[in-house]
Amino acid sequence: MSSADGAGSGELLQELARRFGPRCLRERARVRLYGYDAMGTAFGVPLAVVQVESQEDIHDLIGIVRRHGGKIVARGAGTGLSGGAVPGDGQVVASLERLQAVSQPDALHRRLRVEAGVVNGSLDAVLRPYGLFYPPDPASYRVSTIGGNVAENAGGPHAVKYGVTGHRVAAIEMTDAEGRRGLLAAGPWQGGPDLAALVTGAEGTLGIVSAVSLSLEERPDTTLTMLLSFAEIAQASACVSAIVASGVLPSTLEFLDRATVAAVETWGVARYPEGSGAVLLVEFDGRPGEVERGARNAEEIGLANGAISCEIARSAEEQDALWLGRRGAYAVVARYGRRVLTQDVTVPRDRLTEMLAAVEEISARHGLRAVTVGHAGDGNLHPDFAYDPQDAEENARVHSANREILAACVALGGSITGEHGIGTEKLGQLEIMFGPAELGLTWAVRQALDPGGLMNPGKAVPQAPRVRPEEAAAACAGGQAEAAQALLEAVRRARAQGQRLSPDYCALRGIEVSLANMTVRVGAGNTVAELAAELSGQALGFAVEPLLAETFADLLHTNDYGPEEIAQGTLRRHLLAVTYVTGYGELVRFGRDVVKNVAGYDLYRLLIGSRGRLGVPIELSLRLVPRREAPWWSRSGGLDDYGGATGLQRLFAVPEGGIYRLYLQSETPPDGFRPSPEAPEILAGLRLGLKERGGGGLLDIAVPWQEMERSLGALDTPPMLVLPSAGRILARCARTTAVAVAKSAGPPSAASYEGRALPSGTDELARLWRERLYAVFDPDGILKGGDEA
Amino acid sequence: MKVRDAIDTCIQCGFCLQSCPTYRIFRTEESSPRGRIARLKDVLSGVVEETPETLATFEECLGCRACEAACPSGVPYEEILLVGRARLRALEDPPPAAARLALRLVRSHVLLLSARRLWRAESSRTLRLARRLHGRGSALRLLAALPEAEAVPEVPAQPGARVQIHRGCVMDVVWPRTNARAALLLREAGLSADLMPQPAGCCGALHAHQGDLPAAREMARQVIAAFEATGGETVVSLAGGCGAHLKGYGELLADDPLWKERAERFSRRVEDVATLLDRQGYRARPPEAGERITYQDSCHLRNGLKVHAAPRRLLAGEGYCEMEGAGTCCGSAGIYNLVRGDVSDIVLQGKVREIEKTGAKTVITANPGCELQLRLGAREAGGAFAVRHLVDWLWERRGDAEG
Repeated sequence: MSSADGAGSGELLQELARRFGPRCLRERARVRLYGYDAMGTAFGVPLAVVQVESQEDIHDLIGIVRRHGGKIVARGAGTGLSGGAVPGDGQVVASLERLQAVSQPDALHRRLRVEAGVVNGSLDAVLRPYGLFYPPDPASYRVSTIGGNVAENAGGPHAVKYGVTGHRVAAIEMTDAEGRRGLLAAGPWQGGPDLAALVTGAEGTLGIVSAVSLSLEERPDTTLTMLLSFAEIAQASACVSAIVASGVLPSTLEFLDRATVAAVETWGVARYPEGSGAVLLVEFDGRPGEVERGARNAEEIGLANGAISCEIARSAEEQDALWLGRRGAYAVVARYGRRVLTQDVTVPRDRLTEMLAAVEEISARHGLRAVTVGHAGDGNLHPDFAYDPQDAEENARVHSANREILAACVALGGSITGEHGIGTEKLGQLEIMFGPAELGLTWAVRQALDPGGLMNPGKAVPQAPRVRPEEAAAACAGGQAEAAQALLEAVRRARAQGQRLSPDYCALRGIEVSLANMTVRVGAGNTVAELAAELSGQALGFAVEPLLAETFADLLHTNDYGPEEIAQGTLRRHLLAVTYVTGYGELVRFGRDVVKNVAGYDLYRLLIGSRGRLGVPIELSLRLVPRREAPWWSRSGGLDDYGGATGLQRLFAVPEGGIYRLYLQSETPPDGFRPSPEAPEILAGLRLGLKERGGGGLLDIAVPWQEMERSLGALDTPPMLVLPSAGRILARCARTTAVAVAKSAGPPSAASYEGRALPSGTDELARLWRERLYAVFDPDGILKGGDEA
Repeated sequence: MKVRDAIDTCIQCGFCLQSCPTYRIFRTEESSPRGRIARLKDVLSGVVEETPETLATFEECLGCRACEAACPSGVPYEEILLVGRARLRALEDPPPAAARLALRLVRSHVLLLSARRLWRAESSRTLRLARRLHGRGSALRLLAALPEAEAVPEVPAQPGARVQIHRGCVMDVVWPRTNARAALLLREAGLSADLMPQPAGCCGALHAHQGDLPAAREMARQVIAAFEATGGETVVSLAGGCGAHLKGYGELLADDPLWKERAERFSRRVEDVATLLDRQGYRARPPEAGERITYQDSCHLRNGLKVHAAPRRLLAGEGYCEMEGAGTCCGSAGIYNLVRGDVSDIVLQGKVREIEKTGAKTVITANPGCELQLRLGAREAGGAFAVRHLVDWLWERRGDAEG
């Protein structure tokens, strides 16, 4: 680990002490306590620890460390499992534990701004009175900080239904390696590549996140827990796939293998039915009827798959009793050895049986016993080895078994880490999952955004040379191989001749549905309508209903969405992987067909909204969701009236005779709304009207909440469609003055961000980052299209 | 367990952090259980020099053991803490004078007896004086918060009773009526119970927690002998902290070949009054909606003796309101409020805020130290709530339970 040299570090210390006073810890005894995390095997002694209390502090800290050639590691509660926040010797730790502010929840838009040091588990008390909750719940949620959750893109048992941290981060306030403060907003707000997705899971290598805006969920009315016991592991994993494919999604679906059951029973933590060789814990939440339906369905599927018993718990105490074994599993394993090596492999849900068999075979071959628990609903397994790191021979066996298990998981199409991160632990293992093209591109991104390597060096992404375009073809494989080859050729030609590239998506087609994994792979040239046709009659569907985008390439480039956005979010919540060719000429695939994946930078969601400036997509992997069709469409006046509806599924507004008629689909219509079965036709008509050429240019803007009325006032001519939850306005309008007024509010930006004023230059960070990324992905500008104008 | 083995059980997961009152105040690793364990490891292995400064964090610790309840891998934190404190004492860094005085006082049977007599006669005058001088040091503030001596009900002797109440030291001076009421309540609940004959004296918890293990062991031997002489089957303390310490005698005297077995047998016989009453099905008149009450756990009762549900069952009723963070320390922590009044005050302020949020008019607790600390909180918050020992509250509502 590099750091300031002897003389430089003395001056660095002095300046830090001058600026931060007693908040700069420098005594050896004290800084040593920041040298570890929960993984337990990584250790380093930092030069100093600075307890920051504001974004101002972070800005100054970065400036000082930078001037003296030091390195910085941001740290929350130090509960990570991959060494992500463990400093190298001589580095400076920025402790974010004192960033404790939490805003008042915005119940209407389901948002909450929290600072990085706020503990995940403390949010519940804040949100309960508002009927809201924050779903991601990593095992450490009672102690881990939101900043740490964002850095590692933490998951947890609830991810099967509600997604992981990255799906909940609506905006990020951060300071980059050059001291630039800024706001990165996700989804439709900022436009351009999704920089917030890139920073989430980057393990603090791109800057220091000081606060985030989280998107929340309606709190479920009831929860029901069910324990299904099986004699054989294969029965349990077949049951998982069947439950998932049935379209009745549990809120958690946890798995304990035979070794865990035995360990938990041996230590008296819990008892399971006689003959249990594997146990599934299934939880449903939501409205009572929905929950009971889910439970009945899961019970039937369980029994059909050979369950030997099915226990159901409705009260909190009974539920706690069923959870005892799962919650206590890690501690029980810890008693078998001095250390526990916890793995974190994720495979497509329909490959769980094979993965478990591989774990068993590999462990046995190395004379080890794996104790496996996991979030089966996500295909995320944690095989644990208890061992003694000081026993060199055992240590070697554990680590070669570990590597073989990772390789087996990659061979099954999985990710080597679902929620724990790369840190230092898996830095040398990313190459199992990625080829030279992906690793080279990833390193180039890191260098572009932190040219000095100031932020958390040696974590998350390994140093790797960029492949030369002429060598890129070697990596080409898979169903779209021919098309990919042609694209690479075209890119090379365009670069050589200094021309723009206009990709032809017609050849990039093909739909592969996997109901048992709740995923689909689509060609970039397929249309959203084609996928809908393919899935008609199934229990699962694709959630995003774009208003304008036809093909998946369009959807990826524009991040289009429709009235379902309020319930389903935008594409970022549903995109799992993208295969693409960069403007530089690499063929790469980031992401996997799994919902939990924190291996390396998120260079697939980054493409969302990028207008094709980063690469040409070939194939996308998407998450499917259960179809939920509430019978109620209703309507009322006023733009802000939707607050009273629960189970909201779709929402839009249209001008009708001087007022804005609000249409919404929900399970319980709010007071004062009238049934409106005609709403879907109104929506379909508007979509057609908006797409029609002629009748003025198409205006498609997003404005801050506060400016909505003013922008609407200027337009006020049909066809016009408003998506109030995202602030989006679509209209056909020929009057240039009206358009100018509507646009004058500008996009929702830093200044208007939830009513808070942020330091100037906030948008500058996003602009500069975009420029730097374009230079990495498309050095000769061959992807600059008409869209960019 | 040897302290190095105890340290090795910590897997550094950090699950203890949020449970720790001092971590939540200072937000530094050094003020957390995980950090303290790592510090002792560093000190023992010689990587970090052993000085009053590097060991100061063991004095800062409240010793509430909330971290033990949060720990997934069963780290015996208190053992580690006591070693840290004993090493600190060995560096001749004496506790403050008031704390030294308190420790000396409770060790002497003669002094305790006179204190008891003096308090019965002079409590109101002493309190008036203390309250007038209020604000001049934490010892006086605490003294001023003490309750006045009240009439002690007669407990007819019951030789050979199965349940023996350990009267304790301060408890026996200031709260003798609570001890007596406990004996009578246990009898009402159908148990044969009596007060242990004086002088069994102090259990030694305060000494052990201050790092004076030799004194603590000596006092343990006295208590064990006194209990054995009664022929009782169960020993009960009305102070959560003392009860947990009595339960730990087996561990405390594990290296004493003559006493090891006796101490282990004694430890197995330690029970808590709420558990006994609850097990007998005893119920007082439940609190009505209008008379809002809440319960503050005694840390050592909850985390040491693992008694959590029984007192709540005894208090259940419409007027009961569970307090957010009832299981976290109030800052009393033995004589911590004498040793580290600064930190103790911050903890207490947080606790008073939580009590006020419940709207409770009465806070029930199960330890004299907590009772005194909360009375201090009430005094300084304008006396918005009353504080009662669980036994006193049950006593005042005995005999007319519904149903």
